[in-house]
Amino acid sequence: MAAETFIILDHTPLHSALEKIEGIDPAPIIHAGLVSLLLVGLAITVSRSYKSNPRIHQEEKTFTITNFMEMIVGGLLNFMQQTMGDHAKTFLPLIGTTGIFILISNLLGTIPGFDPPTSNLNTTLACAIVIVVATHYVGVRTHGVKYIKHFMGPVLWLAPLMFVIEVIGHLARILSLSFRLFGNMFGDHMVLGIFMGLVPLLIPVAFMGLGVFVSVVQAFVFTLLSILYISGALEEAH
Amino acid sequence: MGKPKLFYDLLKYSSLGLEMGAAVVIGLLMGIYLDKRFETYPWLTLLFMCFGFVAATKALIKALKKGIFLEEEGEE
Repeated sequence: MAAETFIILDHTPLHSALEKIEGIDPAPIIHAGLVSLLLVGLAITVSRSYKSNPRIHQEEKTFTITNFMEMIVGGLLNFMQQTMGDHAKTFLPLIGTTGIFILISNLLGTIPGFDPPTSNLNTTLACAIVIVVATHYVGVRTHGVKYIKHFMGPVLWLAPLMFVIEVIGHLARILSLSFRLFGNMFGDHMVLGIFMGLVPLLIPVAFMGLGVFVSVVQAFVFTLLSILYISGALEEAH
Repeated sequence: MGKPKLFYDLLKYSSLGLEMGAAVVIGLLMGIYLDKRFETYPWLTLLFMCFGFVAATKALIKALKKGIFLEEEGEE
């Protein structure tokens, strides 16, 4: 069996304080908190550099953290505009936040000594529920009462049947969104851990490369699907 | 622009399999819960599992209707 993995944040006072509460696994909570702190710090740094010099992005030719964040956010906005059109700017805060949070969380797993918070089902379920609830909120806000037509199907006498089927379909979205991310990250981390225990030299590098690839692709898939779901709620029922 | 669009489509359709499976599982779980509630085992379980299958097929049809441009790319 694989050697006992050493998690740095398991040895903090916060961990032992949270451990006393019944039924709580403190590791993903602390790691998610770490990712959130990291992102808040990054956002504050970048916005400060914009405030001090609004033209910074046009002048600087070297690689800075501001340029890097601008590249990521600009790329995401560009991608969203291709699929959503004018609505892209409205939903950039929601989709960008979940997307970047998931990306950083996934990538945290490739650093030895850290657990990705997304390898726990609770974290991914929270993200998926936020996205699906936001989808329906957006639907009700844009269509009002007519949003119910999305659940009715084409024929009126089939409506009660279609309603049940649509509700099952929407619940399946939550399940598939959360389980895909959780399964990929959990499996990836498990494979990496086991090979690290078996052959500590050279071989885990290949799996780390695979881990980076899976992290980026899964974060992208989550973002893509949330964009699709929200634009599905925006369009007219047919 | 052809390559990235194909890549997005592949990601989109790869997500379909899990969604179809999840629909059946959700239907089954709803059926089991309702059967326990109204003590009508096994009828509601069967009925809601069928609903789950229909929901899965509906997701497939929806995805197929949206994926027309895959075909267009093949013709070029």
